Amino acid sequence: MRHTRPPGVESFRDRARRALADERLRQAVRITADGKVEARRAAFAQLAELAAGGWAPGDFEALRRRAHAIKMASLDDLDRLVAKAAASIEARGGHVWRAARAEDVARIVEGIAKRRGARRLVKSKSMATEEVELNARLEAAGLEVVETDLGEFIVQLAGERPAHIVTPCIHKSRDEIAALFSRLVGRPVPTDTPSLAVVARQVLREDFLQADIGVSGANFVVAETGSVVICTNEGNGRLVSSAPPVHVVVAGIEKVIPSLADLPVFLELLARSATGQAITVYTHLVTGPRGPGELDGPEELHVILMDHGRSRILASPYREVLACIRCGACLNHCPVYRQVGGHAYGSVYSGPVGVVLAPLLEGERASDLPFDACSLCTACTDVCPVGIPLHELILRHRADRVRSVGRGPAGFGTALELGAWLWRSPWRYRASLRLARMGARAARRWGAAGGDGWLSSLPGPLAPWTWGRDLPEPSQRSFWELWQRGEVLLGEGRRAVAGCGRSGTPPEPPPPDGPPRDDPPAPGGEASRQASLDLARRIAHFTQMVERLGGRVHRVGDAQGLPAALASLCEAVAPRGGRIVMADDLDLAPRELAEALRRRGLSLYWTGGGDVPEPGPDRVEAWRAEARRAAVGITVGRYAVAETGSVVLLAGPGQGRLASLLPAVQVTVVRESDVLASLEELARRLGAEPLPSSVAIVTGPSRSADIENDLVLGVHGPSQVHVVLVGGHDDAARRDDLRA
Amino acid sequence: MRVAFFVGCVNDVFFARAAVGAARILEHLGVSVHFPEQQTCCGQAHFNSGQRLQAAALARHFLRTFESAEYVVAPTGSCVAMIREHYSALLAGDPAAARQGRALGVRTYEFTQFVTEVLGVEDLGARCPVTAAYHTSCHASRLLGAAGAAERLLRCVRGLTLVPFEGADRCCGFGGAFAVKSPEVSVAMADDKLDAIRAAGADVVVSADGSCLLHLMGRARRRGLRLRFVHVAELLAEGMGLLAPPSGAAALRADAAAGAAARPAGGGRS
Repeated sequence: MRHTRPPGVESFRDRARRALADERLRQAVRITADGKVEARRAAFAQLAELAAGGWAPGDFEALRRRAHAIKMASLDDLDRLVAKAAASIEARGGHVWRAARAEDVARIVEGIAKRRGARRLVKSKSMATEEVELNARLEAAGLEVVETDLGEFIVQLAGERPAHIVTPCIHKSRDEIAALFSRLVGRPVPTDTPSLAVVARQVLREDFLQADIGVSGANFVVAETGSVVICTNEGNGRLVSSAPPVHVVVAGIEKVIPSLADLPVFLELLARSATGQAITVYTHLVTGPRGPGELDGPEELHVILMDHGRSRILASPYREVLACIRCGACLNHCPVYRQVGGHAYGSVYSGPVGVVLAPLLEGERASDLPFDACSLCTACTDVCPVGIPLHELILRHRADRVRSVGRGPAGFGTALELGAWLWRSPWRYRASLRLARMGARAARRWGAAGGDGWLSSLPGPLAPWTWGRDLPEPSQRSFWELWQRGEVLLGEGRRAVAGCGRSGTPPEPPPPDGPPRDDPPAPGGEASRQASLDLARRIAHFTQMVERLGGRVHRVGDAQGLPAALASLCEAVAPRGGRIVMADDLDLAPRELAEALRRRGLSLYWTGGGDVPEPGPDRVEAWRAEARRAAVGITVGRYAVAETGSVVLLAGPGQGRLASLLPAVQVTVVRESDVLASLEELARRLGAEPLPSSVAIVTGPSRSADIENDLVLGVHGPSQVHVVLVGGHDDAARRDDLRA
Repeated sequence: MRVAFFVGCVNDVFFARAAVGAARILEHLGVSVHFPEQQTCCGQAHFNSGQRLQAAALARHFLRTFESAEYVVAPTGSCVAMIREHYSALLAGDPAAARQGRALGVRTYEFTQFVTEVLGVEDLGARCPVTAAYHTSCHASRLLGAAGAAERLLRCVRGLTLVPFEGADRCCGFGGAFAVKSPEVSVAMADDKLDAIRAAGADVVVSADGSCLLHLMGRARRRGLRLRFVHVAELLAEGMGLLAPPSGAAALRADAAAGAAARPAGGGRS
C-alpha cells in the first residue's frame, strides 16, 4: 500500500472519527453551515430580483460566467498582470515585495518591523498568512501579533487553527468562548453573544490604536489602479489598514484582477456566497499610503505578492482552482464538511477547495483527502461563484494519484481493476454477477447474515460497507436472466391500466441537443438600464436597502437646513454632553453646526477643513484622541449606491478615516444627486479620476456572525448608521456660500 | 420510438425488479424497448476512483454496445451522468471516440427524465397509498437537472402523499468509493438523511438511484428503522399494475427493516 500516508501521520479518516465523536462540535458546525446555506439562497434570490429590476448587472449564473471569464483571462496573463499591479502600486508610493516561499513572507515582514522599530502587529483575517504560518514565524522572531477578526481572535486565544475560511471559530460554542475571554480579562464574562463582542471590542480597540504595524490580506488587487481591496464586516480590515502607521498586505499573486470595472462582478458574488449579504459592510480600496493633508491612514504601505506554489499550480491542469475568491460557500454546502468541520482536513484549507488545494500545496501529507473527504455530490461546483469545477478537480487528483502510484486506491483498487477486466466482456460480467449472488448466499450460510437475507458483515475490501450498514440480498435473477426468460416485457398481453394519463401518442422529442443556455447580457445594455433609473427611484431603493440593514435615512430639503437637521439627529443619538467629530469640511457649515450643537449641550470637534497646512504629529494625535472619545462621527459620503444601500467615503485633505470607524454612531451626509444606481456605476465613476488613498464602501453597521452564527452589531466599527440625504441644487456656488 | 435499455450494474445485482418495472412502463407508453445484451458497466466506479484506463475501456465497450441506439434509457441517474458528463472528457485522447461519447451522451436519458421530458408524460395513472419522501441523487439532480422529473411523476400518483424534508438536496453519503473509504462519515450522512425523512413522517423512501437506496436501506436496517425503500420505477410500475406486488425476497428487500430489531453495530445510533 504505497500510497497510504507516512507512518505516524494521521489520516482524514482518523481525524474525522474524532470529530464525529464530538457531538458539540458537530452541532456548532451544522448551525453555522445551515444558516449560511439558507442566507446564500435568499441573497441570490434577491440578486435575481435586483437584476430583473435593473439594479444589478445579472443573476448568479450570469455573474459567475463573467467572474469565471475574468479570472481565467487573468490567469492566462498573470505574469504581465502582476507586473502591472506592482508598477501601479509603486507609482502610488507603495512598496512591492515578491515572496516565493513561506519563509520569505515572514522575512520581509520582520525586515519592515526591524526598520520601523516595531513590536506590535495587528492583523485582519487572511488565509494567505495562515497558509505561510506567518503568526508563528513572527512570534518566533519576538514580535507580538494580535488577530483582530472576532473569530480569528478567539481561535488565537485558544491556540488553534481556523476551522473555516470565513468563520474561523465555527467549531466553538459561546460557553467555550466566554471561558477564554474570562481568562483573558481576569473576570467572569457572560456567555451571551453581545457581551462577548463587547469584550473583544474593548480589548482590541487598544491594540488597533497602539499597534506599530497593521497586517491584512487582500481579496483583490486591481492591476490598473494598484488598489488593494479588503472586504470585512466587523471593520477590523479597515482599522488595520487605517490606524497603524504601517500597513502590510500579504496577497497571493492570483488575487490580481485587471481593472476597476471588473471589481463589481466579484463584489456582487463574494459576500452573497460567503454570508448571504449583498456586499460586506466594509469594502476598502487602499491605493497607496496616506495622501497629503490626510489626518490618518498608514504612512507606509507594503504589498507582499506571494507565490507559495501558485506558479506551479498555474502550470498544472489544476489552474482553475486559482480563481478561488475564498468565499467558503463550498465548505458550507459540503455534506462532509458539515459532519466533521474544518480541522478534520488537517490542512489550512478545508472543505472541497481544501481537498483540491491541500495536495497541491502540501503534497503527500494531504494525499488521502481527494479519496476520503469527498462523496462527489457536486454541491460545491454548483455554488462556486467563480465557476471552479471543484468535483472535476477532485476526480483529477484521484486519477493523478492512481497514475503516480500505478494502481487504484488502497483497499478496493485491485478489486475494481479486476472488475474492469471482467466487465469488458459481457459473459464475464454476467458470470461475475452470478458469482457475487452465490457468494452472498454462501455468506448467509456461514453466519454473516443478519436474518431475512441481509448481510451484516462482509469480507475484504467491502468490510467497511458493513461498518454501520447491512447489505440486502441480491435479486434472485439478474435483469439479463429475466430478459432471456422473456419475463421483462409484457408484450401484447400487457395489462390495461385504468385511468392512465397518457393522452395519445407522445409528442415528437426535441432534437437531443442539451438544455438551452442563456447568453450573458450584452454589456451595452447597461447604460440604457441606468438611464431609466431616475433619481426618485434610486433614492427610494437606497432608503429601503439601508433600512433593511438596520440603518436610517433622513432627508433634508437643501443644504441650508443641514446644520439644524444634523444637530437634532446628534441630540437624538448622543448622550448629554457628548462630543461629535467631523473630519471633513465641504458642505457641512461647521460654524452653524457647532452653534446648533452647543445649544443642545453637545460639542463639535472639527478638523478645520482642507485648507489647513499639512497636519503635524500633534494634530494627528489630537485627532486620534478626539475620534476615540466622540459619540458620533460625521462624514461626507462622496457617493451612495442604491443597489446595496452603501455610502462611499473618500480620503482627502483634512479628512480622517477614524471618524467613521471609532465612534459608535456613524452619520454620513450625501447629496441626493450622488446616489448612484449600482456598484457598476460606482466603479465607472471612481475609475474616471485618480483614486484617493482610501475608498471605503460602507454598507450598514459593523457586524459579525462569528459566534454561533448570531448576528451582533458594532463589533469594531459603529453599531448605528445614519445617512442624511441632502436635496437642492447641485451647484458649486451653493457650496461656496456655505463655506463662507 | 425505439429505446435501448441500459440496466446498470447496481440495479442488475440488487434492483432487477425496478429495472423490469422501468422497461414495462416504457413499453406501456408505446416505446419499443430493446436490451443490448452485450452491455456491462458504464465505468463510473472506476472513473470516480481515478482508474481512468479501466473506465475508458468500459466506456469504449459501452459505446460499441449502444452506438446504433436512437435513445439510451437507464433507471439510474448517476450512470447516465457518467455517460453524459464524463465520457467525452474521459476519451479525449481519441477524438473519434470522444465525439462518439458526446453524441451518445445527449441521446442518453435517466428513466424519469425520459418519461417526462422526451415522452412528455407525467400522469402514469398509478395508484399507491403511501406517504413517501423522494430522495434525489446528487448526480440526477445537480448534473442532470432531473430532480423535478421523478417528483412530477410521483405527484400524479393517486393516493401518494409526497412529503418535503429538511436537507432534501443534500448528499445521502453513498458516494461510491467514499462509502468504503470514509464509512464513518458516510454513515453519519445517512443518519441525517434518515432522521429528516422520519421527522417528515414518511413511511416510504423513493429514489431513482439504486446506489443511494442500497446505502440508506442498509443503514436503516442496521438501526432497526421502520422505513420502506423502493426504486421509483418499481413503485410506479406496481401502482400501474405492471408489476405484481412484491413477494418473498423482493418484498423483504423493499421492506428494508420493518420489524427488524435494532442491533448494536458500528456507529449504531438507533
